[in-house]
Parts: sequence; structure tokens; C-alpha cells
Amino acid sequence: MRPAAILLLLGLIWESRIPHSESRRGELGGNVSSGIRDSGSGIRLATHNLIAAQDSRIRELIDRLLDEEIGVRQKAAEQLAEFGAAAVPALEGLTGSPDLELRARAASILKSISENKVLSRHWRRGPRITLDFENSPAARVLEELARQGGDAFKFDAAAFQDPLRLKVKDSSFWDALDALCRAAPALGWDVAGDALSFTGKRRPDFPSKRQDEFNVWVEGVRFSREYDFTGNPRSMFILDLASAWESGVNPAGVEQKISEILDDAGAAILLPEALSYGNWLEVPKARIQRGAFYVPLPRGAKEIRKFARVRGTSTFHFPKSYQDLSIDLRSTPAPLTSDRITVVVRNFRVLKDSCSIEVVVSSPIGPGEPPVDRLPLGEIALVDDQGGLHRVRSLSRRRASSDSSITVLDTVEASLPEGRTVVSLNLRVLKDLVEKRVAFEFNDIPAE
Amino acid sequence: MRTLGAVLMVLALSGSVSLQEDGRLRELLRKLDDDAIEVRAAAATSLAELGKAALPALEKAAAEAGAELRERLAEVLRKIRERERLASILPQPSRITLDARDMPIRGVFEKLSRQTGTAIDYSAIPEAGRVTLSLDRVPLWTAIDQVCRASGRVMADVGPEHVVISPDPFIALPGKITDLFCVTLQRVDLSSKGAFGQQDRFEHFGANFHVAWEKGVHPYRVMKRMIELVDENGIEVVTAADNPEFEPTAPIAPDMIRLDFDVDSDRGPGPGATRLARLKVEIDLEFALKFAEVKVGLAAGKFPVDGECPEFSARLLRFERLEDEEVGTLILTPRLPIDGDLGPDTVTVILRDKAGKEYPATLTPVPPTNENEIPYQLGFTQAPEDAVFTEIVIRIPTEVHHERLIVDLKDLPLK
Repeated sequence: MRPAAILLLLGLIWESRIPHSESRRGELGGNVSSGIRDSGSGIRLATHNLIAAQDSRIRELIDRLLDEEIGVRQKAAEQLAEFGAAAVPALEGLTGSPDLELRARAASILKSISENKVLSRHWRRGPRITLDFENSPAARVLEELARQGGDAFKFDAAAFQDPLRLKVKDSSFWDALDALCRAAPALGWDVAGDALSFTGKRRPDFPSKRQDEFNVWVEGVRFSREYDFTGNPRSMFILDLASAWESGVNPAGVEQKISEILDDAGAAILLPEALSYGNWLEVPKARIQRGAFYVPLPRGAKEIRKFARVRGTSTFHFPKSYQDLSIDLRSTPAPLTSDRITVVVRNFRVLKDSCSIEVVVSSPIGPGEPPVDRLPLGEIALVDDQGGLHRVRSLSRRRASSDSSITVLDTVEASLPEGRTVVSLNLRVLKDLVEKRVAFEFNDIPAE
Repeated sequence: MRTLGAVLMVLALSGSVSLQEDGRLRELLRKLDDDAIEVRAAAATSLAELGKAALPALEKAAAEAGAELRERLAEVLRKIRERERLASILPQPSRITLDARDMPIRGVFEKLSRQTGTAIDYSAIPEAGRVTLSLDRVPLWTAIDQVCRASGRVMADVGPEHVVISPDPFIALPGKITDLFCVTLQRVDLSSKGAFGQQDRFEHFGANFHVAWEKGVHPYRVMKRMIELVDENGIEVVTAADNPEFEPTAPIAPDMIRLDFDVDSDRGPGPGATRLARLKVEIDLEFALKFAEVKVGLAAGKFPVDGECPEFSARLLRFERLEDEEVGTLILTPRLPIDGDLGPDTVTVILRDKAGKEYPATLTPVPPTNENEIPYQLGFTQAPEDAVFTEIVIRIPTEVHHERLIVDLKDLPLK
């Protein structure tokens, strides 16, 4: 069986064994759900057979961890890591092995599995799209693309009845969408929250780079002339850059950078230093990150009609590992420092049917590290005396960053059923991140 | 008429006005009770103009008057008191008198700055420059403008807290000078966006103004709106109908004498414009005649800390240093229906330190947890780290005086 097929099957098993939301709640509460839930008996039988097949495959791979060839051992380790949760019990059995290398390898594979599990909640490989339409209304093609892409599209079906012809095979979501917009007489899209919304207006021919689950494009080039009556006129270009991602992909922060701009004569335009003040990354509110890049022109600079080259990167940061922390609230909690992250909770107040608390998370930013907000809101919960978990909502959130650290101050509140008292606060802070990077190079961008 | 007689008797005994004024007061009070409405209105205006000195006599007269006359006198008293309050926040402008013949510019500014409470830094002016001009009781901003203009070698720039005279060639900035205020247009921003063959072009217009007032003038808020923009082809790009509402500007610190503000529009003449036919903005400087005020003490260092006045109550949940600013969380709860509201454009929050220095807060609304409460995040970016803070003052104006300025600029060159 090809690894991709295995992963797909595993994905199915994962979904049927632990529903997504259940698994998140379970993990945070510390009582991971197990077993098959709420599935029909047919599916149950199928998954049993699959699990049996997996078990023998896992045993085979574990045997290979002891192979004399290092290449074979390495490959087996990678494949076991791809197995994910199903391989965990067997690997845990190996951590007590007298063989030092086997013990170390098992521990390392378990770490990868745990990181992949975290990552899989935020990133998934995009589905491959195949569309074959001859004289079909655009609305039908949109429906099919949304279905295959697992996406939500907003459009008025009645407005997209013009027939079109489109053949796309095994393509990425963004390539398929681009082909569709080109095939339709007038079709454009924009990101609307977690969905894409469509209009009957042709999408402009933005310079774009589509790579895997990501799409990066130059949305506009603005020219601004500042006439200063005190005698210091200035002018600048502003490049509007946008990075979007597929549905089901949830970055913890997106960083857009432009590293080089050449004018129409091929000369480099000096880029201003990136401003570090307040330059922190947070979980985007929609499936898009937009940014404006200011390119001041020296006084008396000659007119620029196009940019010969614009080069840069969009970096998408995904959580790879979290640190779960539990803070006892029955006595005055002391600050908690763990792996460079400091957490302070204070001002715990019990109100009539709710309670509120302030959480302050500070973390240093090393050179080259992204200034990511390390306190994802969805990851804070209060635990009551009966073990009940109460997710909090934010009353106010404030962030501040310097060159070397980022601090997040969150005042949160949770409703509490009558008769319960809060004993602790569970929170999960972002520890390690993995990045996916899209490097772009656009040539001959008209500056108009 | 019997009550009026009694009132006049009281007046005779009050002794707070001179005999001559006493006669005039009697006359005006008689007219305030006249049968003809025009006579009564004229008398009310004249009585109000007598000002503070007439207050004790009028108060006594009101106490003795019959219902109708008492009502009219109450109105006159209210007007006088309002004017008194206004005078304390909107004082008379400094009047500058100068007679300079080939006098060093520095010496001229030395003389000028002695006649105003507004600080003027003229230390950068070279010794050499001389100027000849004569000013007779000219308001401050006009005086500064005329000295700079006559010299041609110095330029005045109003900083946030004082005026700076620099040794730069004089440039007449477009704007408007009144007795108390000086508004200048600093720059305009003309942008366009070409978006890869899109039909609809996006153009943006922005204009940056400075509005300055003399030291001692205390607007609590300044509002602005652009009411006209006409391009060089005579096309009305912006009209008053586009901006029916005033927009707030930045919070005003207590020692501030200059505020920057921008007006902008998503339509504009574009970067290629060589001239603007007309740019008209309206500025509303608001002066609070009365405040509802709550103070919460920080000295104890314990939170939450509460305070209240008849109109609203305040609870400060926390107050602390976060990186490079002081921050806090404040919850306001109205106790009475307030004229205006407890919105971020109305509420002023000031942090006071041990030395009495004040720092204004920026207020960021936070979603409320119950419908009565209005929570805010406070940020004091100007507050230094080493100061000892004593209290936070929360103010809501309950009676407001408006000073409106219309700045109408024509034929502005942009090349």
C-alpha cells in the first residue's frame, strides 16, 4: 500500500475513532478518549479489519528498526511516524527495551507522532482536484470544486448559469480555482472569513504564486505622493501583498516579507528596515493575511513604470508542540516558568455565576524567531471541583512586544454552573512551531 | 408689581454694585418685567452682560421675585455663570504690542514672549537677522505670523507644548488664524492604486492639519470633518453630504497646545494633480463647562478599586506596566441618564503622578459582560516607567461649549 493511501485510511480511522472536537476537549482535560464512538456497525467492522492489517504492518516496521542497514532503519522510523496514533502502543512498549538505540529511536518516533498530531490539527495536505465539465453552468463547477476542496463557497447560483468548459486533473485547489476563473467569462473571488465568496466580476490578473495549500499574490501597487507645504515632498510605492490558504489549514501566524524589488532599469530599490515594534504574529481572523509594504522613493527619483522583479516569502507558522500547564487556583498561584515561557495568573474573581482571571504569558524572541502569540485563546479552560471543564472567553486581550520578547495579557471569563467551585486553570501554550514557506518572485509588475 | 418693588428694595440694600450701576440694574430689572417681549429680551441680554459683579445682587433679587420674574432672572444667572466657567477654560487671547525698527529678530521674540503665557523657543534664531514692524494689540498667532513674515528668515512651528521658531526661510502655510486658534495645512497625500487591469481605480486623498491654541485654553476634545474638496477641473470630489458627522481626533494631553489631525477620503484627484481648487474643513473644539468626574486612587496598589459620582461609577480592575506603557482595565457603569454617553469619544481618562503631571489614556472598548457595564482597556503610552502614579481621573462632560472653525482654502498649488 502506498504511504499516501495509508495516510488517507488512517485519516478515516482517526476521524471515526476520535471525533475532532472530542479529541481536543479530551486532550485538554487530560482524559484522552479511546475506542470507537458513535460509528455504525459496518464501519466498525471495516475499521477492525484495517486495524488488524495495520498491526501486522507496524510489527514488520518495528522489526526493521533493528535492521543492519541504517537506511532501512531510517525509512522504517519515518513510516512508523506516519502511522501516527495506531503505532503509539507498540512504540511505547519499546521505550523499556534494553537496546539503547531501539529505545532512543522509539522515543524519537513517539515525539514525531505527537508533533504530527498537533500539526495535523492545524495543517493538512490539500486534496487533489479533478474537474471535467463540458457546457456546464459555472454554479455547478463551483459546487463540485467546493465539494472536492472541502471548502465553503458563497455565491448566488442564479447569477452563474453561463455554461463553461473546464478540464482539470489532479491539480491543487488553488490551481483548479484559477483555471475555473479563467474558463468563466466573468468570475472573481475574495476571502470572506473562512469561506470564499464569488462575484460576477472578472478577477484581475494578479501576479500570484500558488504552492501546495497556499496562494500568495500582489493585490495592488499604490503610488502615493505627499505634497508637504513646509517644503519636504515625498513619494512612495505601496505594494499590497496577500497570502491565503485552503480551508482546513489554520496557521498560528503568517509572516509576509519582501526581500528585493528591482525597478524597470533593473536597479535595486532600497527597502526600508522592517519595523520590529509591534511586529507580532497572531492567529489570523480569516483565511487570508494582507500586508502593505512601503517603498519610499528618493527625492527627484525618475518615474517608475514597472517593477522588473519583486521577490519575497510568505511564511506560515503552524504549532508543532504545545506545553500543557495546570495551575492550582485554590491558593495564590506562583509564576510558572517553563522552557523560556513565563505564565502568571492573577486576579481570580468569582462572580455570581461566572468567574474571571487574568493570564499573562511572556516569552523571549530569539534572533530569527517569529514573534508569535503563544497563548492561543481556544486553549484555556477552567476546571471545577467535579472535573468539569469550562472554556473561557476573552474579555480583553492585549499584546506588547519588544525586539526580544512578547507578552500577552488576557483577561478571560467562564460561566460556571451553580454549586461548582473552580480548582485549577488548564492552559496550553505554544512551544515549537513548524513553518511552511512560499518563496515568490514576480516579474514585470506594472506600476501604472 | 408689588414683588418688583420688593426686589428693587433688596437691590438698594445689597451694596455690591456702585450707585450708578445700581440705577442701571433697577432700570434693567424694571424692563425685565415689561409687558413687551422685545423689551424683556433686550433687558435679559444687558443684565447678562453685567457679568460676575452683578451676581450677588441678582441672586438676592431672584430670591425675592415672583414666579415669572424669578424664572427670567434664573436664566440670566445661568448665562452669567456659564460665561464665567467658559472664561476659565477659554481665556481672552494674548494681545501683543510691538514697535520694532531694524531690531534683532531674537529681541522681537523676546518682547513678544513676555506678553503671552504660551512658551516660545527662539533659541535657534541667529543673532544677525533684523526686522522692522509695528503691532498694536494683535492676537498672539497673528503676531507670530507677522514677525516671521516680516523677517522672511524664520519659520514658526507649533510643537505639542510650545512654539519653536527655526532659522528656516519663511513659507506661508495655507490655513486660518483667529484670535485664539491657528490652523495650518501641513501636507496632502495623493495616492492611487492600479490593480492589474481592474476597471475601478482606487484613489485616496488625505490632508494633515495642525490646530494650535494658546496655553490656558483647554479643549477636552476636537472633532473634524472635510466638507469640500474640489479638484483642478472643478469637480466636487467631496461635499458636506459625504461627511455628515464629525469625527474625533486624538486625545488631548493637559499641557498640549497643538493637535495634529487628518481628514481623508476614498476619492481624490490622484497623484498627478497640480492644484486643488478648494479644500474646506470644519473643526469643532469642545470645551466642557461641567464635568462628571470620578477619581480612583492608585496609592494603595490594591485592585479592584472603585469610585463614583452621581452620574456614573468606575471600577479599575488592574493597573500595571506592560512593556513600554502603563495599562489598565476600567469598567464604567452609568447611574443616571447622561447627556451624551460613556462611549470612547466622550470619556476622558487621565493618569496623574505624584508631581501632579498628567498623562491621557487611549481607550479601547472591550465587549461587555453585562449590558450595564462599559469596559475599556486603558493605555498610557506617554507615562514614564519611573514615575509614581497616584490616581486615575475619569471625566465625562455634562455641559459642552462648542467653538467651530471653518477653514476654507482655495487654489492650493501641489507642484
